[in-house]
Amino acid sequence: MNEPHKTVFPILAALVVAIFPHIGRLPPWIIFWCVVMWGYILLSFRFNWPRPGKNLRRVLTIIGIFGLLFTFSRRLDQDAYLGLLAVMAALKPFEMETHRDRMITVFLAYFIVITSLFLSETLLITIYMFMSVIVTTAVLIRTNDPGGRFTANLRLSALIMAQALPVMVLLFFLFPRIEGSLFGLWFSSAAKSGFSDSLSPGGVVMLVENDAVAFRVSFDGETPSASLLYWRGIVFSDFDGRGWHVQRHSPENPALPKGQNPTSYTVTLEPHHYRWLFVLEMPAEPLHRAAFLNDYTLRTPRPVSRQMRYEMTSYTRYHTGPEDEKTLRQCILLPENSNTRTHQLAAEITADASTAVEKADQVFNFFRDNGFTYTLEPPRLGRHPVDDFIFASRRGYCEHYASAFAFMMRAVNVPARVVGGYLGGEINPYANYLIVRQLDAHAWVEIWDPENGWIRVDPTAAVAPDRISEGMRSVLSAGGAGGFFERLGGLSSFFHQARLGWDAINTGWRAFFEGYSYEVQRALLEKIGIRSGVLAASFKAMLLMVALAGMIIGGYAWFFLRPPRQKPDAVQKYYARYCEKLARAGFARKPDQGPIDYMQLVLKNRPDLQKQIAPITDLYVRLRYRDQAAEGDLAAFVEKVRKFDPALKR
Amino acid sequence: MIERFESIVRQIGTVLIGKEPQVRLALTCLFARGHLLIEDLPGIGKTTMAKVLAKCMGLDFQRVQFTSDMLPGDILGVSIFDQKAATFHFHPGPIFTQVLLADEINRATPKTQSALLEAMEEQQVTIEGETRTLKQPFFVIATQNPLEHAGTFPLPESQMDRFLMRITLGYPDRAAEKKILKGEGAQAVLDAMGACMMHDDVFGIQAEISRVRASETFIDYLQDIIHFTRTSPRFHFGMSPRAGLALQQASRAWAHMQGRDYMVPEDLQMVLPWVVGHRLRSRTDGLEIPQNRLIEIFSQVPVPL
Repeated sequence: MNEPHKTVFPILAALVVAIFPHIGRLPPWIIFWCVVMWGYILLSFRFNWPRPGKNLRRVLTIIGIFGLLFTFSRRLDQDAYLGLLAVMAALKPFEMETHRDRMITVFLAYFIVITSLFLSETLLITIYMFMSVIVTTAVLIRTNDPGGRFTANLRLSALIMAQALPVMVLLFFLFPRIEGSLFGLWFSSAAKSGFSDSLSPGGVVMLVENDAVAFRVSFDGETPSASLLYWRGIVFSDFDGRGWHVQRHSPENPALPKGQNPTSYTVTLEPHHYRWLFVLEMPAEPLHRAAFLNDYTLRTPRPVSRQMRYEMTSYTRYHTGPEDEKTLRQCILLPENSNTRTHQLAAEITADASTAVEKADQVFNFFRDNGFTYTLEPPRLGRHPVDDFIFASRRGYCEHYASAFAFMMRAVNVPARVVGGYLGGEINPYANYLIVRQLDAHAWVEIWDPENGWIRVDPTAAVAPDRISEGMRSVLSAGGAGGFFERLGGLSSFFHQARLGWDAINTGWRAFFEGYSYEVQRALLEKIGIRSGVLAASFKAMLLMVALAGMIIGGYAWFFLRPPRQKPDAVQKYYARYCEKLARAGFARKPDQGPIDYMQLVLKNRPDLQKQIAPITDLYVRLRYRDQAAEGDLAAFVEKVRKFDPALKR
Repeated sequence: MIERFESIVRQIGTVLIGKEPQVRLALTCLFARGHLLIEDLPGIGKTTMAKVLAKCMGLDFQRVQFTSDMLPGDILGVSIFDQKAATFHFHPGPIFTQVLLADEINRATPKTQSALLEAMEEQQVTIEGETRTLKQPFFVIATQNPLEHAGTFPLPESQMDRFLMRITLGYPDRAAEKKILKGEGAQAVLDAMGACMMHDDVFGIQAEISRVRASETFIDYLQDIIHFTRTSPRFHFGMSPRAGLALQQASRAWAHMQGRDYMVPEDLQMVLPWVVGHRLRSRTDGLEIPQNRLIEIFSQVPVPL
């Protein structure tokens, strides 16, 4: 401990490097805790302050654990474990007197590095993890072999890492995968985002301000036009006078919708910690990992807490078929004495309409023609939000319109419900997939027509057709809202493109990394003749491993044990060429033959070559053995060898 | 330059008929400041060679016939009490010469052998506490009979190492033999022969040889050779650094005699079997390796381009 810069400081550096990616994730008090502890350690060496003794360390440990319990009492997830690691890593440098303690701390740093897999930005994090492993290994080297420069440690560590890389790749492909994903356990985030199970004023706007990715979609064929990209997630069938709610118990397995031109696609859903999945309207088939509810939504048995990929087929033009009476009855229920003015208004507007479609048309026209405007900053609404909206503010966004529209349809006995999901998305030009962000969140209405089944009506189209045809971004830029990048003017498109490119790289990386599952591995192994569950196959697998390992070790041995080869210089190169020319003429040089012997041997048989060979040999000997070659000698030698032609008779 | 050496070789050739390669090697050894071991049967011309070399160089010559009852004093010299002057008077031994022919060196006891070998290495002798420098140049030609074993003390490896080269003379070929038989006899020719150079010239040549350049590539080749002897399974043990230096020195002298002031691999290859032959042993039987086998083995070492 006399030389902390050699023992303690590198370990501290390794810990800092390991913790760094988690700064945004750890509770602020833990960051503060780490900074204080590490700062004190650094300064204590500088100014010879007393370091905490055993008892104080115990007290600090207990304080830290209580802090953790207080912070994470609700959920004991990976964040809690990470917090525990960070709290302990902050205290550990206080007891690094012995070599063993230092080694433990270095391994703690490795452990923290592994926790970076919790984070979702996989590509960047992977690169960072490689870097931190190199740093930590360099510290490990330094801990065991103090002295020398840290750069040398780093170089050795990087070398070790490079050598381990083939083994890592091999293990990645051949290490037995568990059915399901081992990594999946880690790829989850705790923060909920997206829709909740009720739609109350303001909810969607919060999403609009969030440009996080909700999910990504890659279509098998052509991408449908933007106005058809309604991503159905939740259906709100219950209205309580203020907001819309999801039906508590929804029957499952409805009749499958019919349609033409099925669109197949793969959705990669970001974790949102709810149970619904988003699919293109209308889903044409059930998904074996989720229940297919009567309202044509899919619901997983467990909240989606990690990225999820699923394949789906949908009809963008569809006929849903018959609906049971109970559901239809539920879809015209309205609470008593609520929003009564709108109730009356609806009846007035649709007085001369007979069918559901006609009624919907009338109400749609009402919204279009009566000065309703689309805004993301609507005023607050009172106890009767629909009345307030229609008679007072007349300003709102999709949620207000969908809510009011569905209310009015129900008021005139047309079964209607609000559908929540996303509309549109952005094609990533670099990898041809669609990115749907939280800001694409949308709500629309579905009405029941006995002839056509459930029909989608999007009342927002009446006031803001751009929102439907061009997506949310058109609305955002027109309103002057939007993030920092949008405000940069000319630069914004550059940043936007860069972001799309980065997203493409990240998604591709992740698809490769996560996509390599048990099934893929089994397919790969079967391709090379290894079938799971067969004893012979295990032997084959073992043989393959041994062979591959042997090849790798052999390759290394060859690489490191081969005699060091010097780069051929010009003299060597051209003398070899000269020998080659002579060899073709029938006078191969024996390896132990010196230049003069060689010349004499050749001249004995071909005295006519004297004029060509003698100067070449002379120059070669001068360049190689006299150590006093003149300036032009090399050029002359090269020139003469180039022109040398044993067939030439002079 | 080449002319000068060629004339020496030619002149020696008139006495020592048909032994030009050996003469060249002996000259190389002499100019490289090394000592020469000649291994051959009696009557082949070892003594003649030593004599003619000495005479040609204009150097003093002494011959010592080694026997098993010989003492170091017989070579180095002894102090004898002079009764008239009442002092010890040093009588220098035959070693105080320039070319010393140590005939049948393996017959002497190790004690006597090492007295000579010490002088060879140090170029000086210490007798009764007094260090006496030998005349320069000092060149030992030792001979031994390889077939005779009874009553001999073979030189240990460490002492063989003191000899820069070991050569064999071999029988003269038929034409040379004829010349010898028809000729008037070596002794008469030798007596009639004058010196080909002043003995100061020898210093000059030795100085010039030490200036012969060893290029990087040449040293690489030399090192490859040395490394080869140390790693090849054919040899019981490899060349010592002193052996490497000896090889380089011999190559230098050879290159100089070819009129070059730098070495090429051919120089090394030329002297190699004679320099390493007595320094290496076969791994299989622990015996020395014949020259032609040595050349074959060393042809495995490629010349760097």
